[in-house]
Amino acid sequence: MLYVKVSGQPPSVTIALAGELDMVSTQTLNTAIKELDKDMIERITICLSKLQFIDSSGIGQLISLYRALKVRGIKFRVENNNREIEEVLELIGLREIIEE
Amino acid sequence: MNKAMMVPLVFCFFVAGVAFILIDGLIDNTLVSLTWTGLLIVGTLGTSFLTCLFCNKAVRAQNQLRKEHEERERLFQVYHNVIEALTQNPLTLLTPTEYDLKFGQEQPLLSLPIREVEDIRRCRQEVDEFLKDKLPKWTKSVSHRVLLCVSEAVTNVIKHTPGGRLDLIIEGNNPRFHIIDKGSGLDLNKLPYLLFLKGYSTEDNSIGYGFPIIIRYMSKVLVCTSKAGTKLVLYPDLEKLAERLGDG
Repeated sequence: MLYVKVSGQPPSVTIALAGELDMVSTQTLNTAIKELDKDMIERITICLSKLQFIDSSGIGQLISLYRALKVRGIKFRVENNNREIEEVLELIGLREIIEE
Repeated sequence: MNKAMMVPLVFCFFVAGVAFILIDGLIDNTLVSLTWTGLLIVGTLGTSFLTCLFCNKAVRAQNQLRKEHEERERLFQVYHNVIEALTQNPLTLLTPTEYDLKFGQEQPLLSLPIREVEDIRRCRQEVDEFLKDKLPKWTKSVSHRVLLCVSEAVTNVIKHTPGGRLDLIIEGNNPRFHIIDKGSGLDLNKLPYLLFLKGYSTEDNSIGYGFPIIIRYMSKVLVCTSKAGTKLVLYPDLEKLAERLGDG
């Protein structure tokens, strides 16, 4: 199960994810993102520190989100202090992709 | 029936028919017999032509199939050697016969269907539940990496095939996972990219990082792929993985 908590006010919003981010949770994340008023937002921070599990499909969703926001000129950042999650992000090279 | 057999057969019919009607015509000496002779000649030549045309098509298709099979065998052997050398043995390609000889008689301890997206999570949970009291080295950090690999393999089945199953076997102190799908097999031409290139996928809408993650954490991986589907065998070495992660 994926839990999504949105905090902060435009122009800067933080989305904290908890639980499992994989192919099963695609809909949950997409719904939460759709509900945001993106015209008012300049920066989105995704916090993964409380995430218990992420796989390549989950990271794929983050990359798709980053690309969609970039088109709208919205800045995107990933925050994380969870070692197991960071290892998968590094293995896939997420940070290299979103800093391209 | 091939061309070599068909042509003499049609020729024999032709010679026999002409001989019969000519003899009949000589005996009766009528115009009707000569007309029939002409019609038979035209008919037989037409049939011969169509037979040759059809046989040529069939032979060409047969040759094409044989060439494809030979090309697949050649690619299989090349990739088998190259992949073994590149991965320093963690990854090996098996033929379906080799797979059956090695694992054909085995009975899994746990067999889980892979049919819908929710099965990705169900497989992780059920494998974790099944192994946590059976294997002493199934610690939180080790199980996290192993379940990540299982998740990647099961996700591939959901994304790219009509479905399959996950079989679990325990060998000594380690689990072994067989992820078996009913897809059309991996394209051998794309296999090296799929296995080693970050972000490569056979479909645009998926990221395709699964294999590099699997190769990173598994001590051995076997891949058996044919047009009847793909079988992926994952061998984690829990003790070595724990040492690598600093849990040993």
